[in-house]
Amino acid sequence: MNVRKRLEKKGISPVIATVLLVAMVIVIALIIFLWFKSLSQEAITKFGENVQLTCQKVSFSADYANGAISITNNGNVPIYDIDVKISTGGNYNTDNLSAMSGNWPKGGIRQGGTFQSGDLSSQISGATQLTLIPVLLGTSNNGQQTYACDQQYGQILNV
Amino acid sequence: MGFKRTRKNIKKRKAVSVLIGYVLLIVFAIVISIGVYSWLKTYVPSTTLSCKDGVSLFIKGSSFNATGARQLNITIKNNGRFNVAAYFIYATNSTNQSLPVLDLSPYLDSSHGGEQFGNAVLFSPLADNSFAPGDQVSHIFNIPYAMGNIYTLQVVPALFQNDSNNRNMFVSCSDDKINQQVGEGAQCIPQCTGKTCGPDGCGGTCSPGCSTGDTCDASGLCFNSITCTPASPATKSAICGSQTCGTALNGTGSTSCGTIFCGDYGGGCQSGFFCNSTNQCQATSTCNGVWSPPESTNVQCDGGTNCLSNCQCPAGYNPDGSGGCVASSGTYSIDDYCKAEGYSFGTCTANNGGCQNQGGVLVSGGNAYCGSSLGCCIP
Repeated sequence: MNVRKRLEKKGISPVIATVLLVAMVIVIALIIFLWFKSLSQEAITKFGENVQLTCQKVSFSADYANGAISITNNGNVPIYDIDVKISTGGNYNTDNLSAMSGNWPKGGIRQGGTFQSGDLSSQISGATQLTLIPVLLGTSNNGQQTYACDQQYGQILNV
Repeated sequence: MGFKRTRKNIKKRKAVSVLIGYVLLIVFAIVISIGVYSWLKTYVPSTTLSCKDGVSLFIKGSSFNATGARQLNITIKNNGRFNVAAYFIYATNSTNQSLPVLDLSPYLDSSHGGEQFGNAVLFSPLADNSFAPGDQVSHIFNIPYAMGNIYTLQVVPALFQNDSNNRNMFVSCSDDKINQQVGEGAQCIPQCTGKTCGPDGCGGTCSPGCSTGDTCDASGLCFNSITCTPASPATKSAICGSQTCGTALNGTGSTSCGTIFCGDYGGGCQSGFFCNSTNQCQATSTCNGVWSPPESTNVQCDGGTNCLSNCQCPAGYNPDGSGGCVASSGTYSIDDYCKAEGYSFGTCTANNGGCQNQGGVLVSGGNAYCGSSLGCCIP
């Protein structure tokens, strides 16, 4: 009696079941991926690699004399901007060199380029140390974005 | 009884169907793998472009005349093991400055070799790594007055190199840069003769400057722009007329509104030209004491044996092809030499007193025509 009941049970054909299984996997994967993508931080790339890696290739020389900051881009990576960390005793504040100086070239300092600011002594009066941190311009899904490199890639100038 | 209770408990437990469990497992695996891949692929570093060890340039010679034509003449030699394509060149114009940041590439006089390529100077117009080890070249840069004196030069080699994607990239060899002191002992002399204001050619300004309300004109003189009477019409073309360089007076006499620069180069001329006495731009002669072909057509010799100061060979001499002159025929005397130098005549004397008694001056270049005596030229 029980065996007969089991034989009468109805179910989906194995072929259809496989098709449905594959389809469900794909759809659910797509939904979860799109949701996950909106949560994760987008990577900013430059020259086809993550901009954090490009920071390692930045090379520049800097000098501070007579109230002016001078910079030479010795490397092969264009420097879009410079974050200037002005240290005064135990305090510090950070500003963009493009905002501090009207001489900043549009588009930044390209390979082999140089920059000399005007007299910035009024803006950095009382400072004991300047840390120049390169800012690069990268590409993300939202278009071009700037990225400030880690401080370890910056240069310290004693004032 | 116990067995029946266990069967009941087993039947009451609820769980996800095995099928759904498999689906979820596979989905999570796929999603996570895609997410990790898309995030990690940007962290795969590409090949870093860097110069090979052994790339090296050497500044064999450099000279800069801060008061004359203001030309920086440098001779660069490849003393490395690899070909180089170009170089970046920077300078300082102050003794307080340790980092050369003045880019000199825009001031290259390409008529004497070299070609500007962005911020660099190419050795060859073909833009390739053609500057081989052992090669040597001289380039000239026309330094503007506003830059003042040049104290230190920095040269950074650069070359073309293929990256991992086989793209031809221009690579700076910043680890192989070289510094060179230039013009040691040469002091910049302020050009303030006849001026009371404006730039002095050494980065400063002429004194005493203009009073409040006055304006400094192109000639370094002050004028009152409110009370003066300008030319009519007061346009640059009307004031300058046919002048292509120099300055021209805006108005007449003491009521004029000062002078203005003529031409398109702030009163000067384009690279390779100079402003002559008639305020016209004229091609610069390459007569500079150094034989560096190609020389301009009016230069027969330059800095070599028997070559006169005007880069011409004396009468009876022909260019030897390396900046000097060799005798061809006839006899060349101290008289010929002095006349070629612009004096009235020349003679040989035993000492300076004898020369001065005749109203002349000793000219060391004429000694070769006087044997053991001294060459004396009389104006």
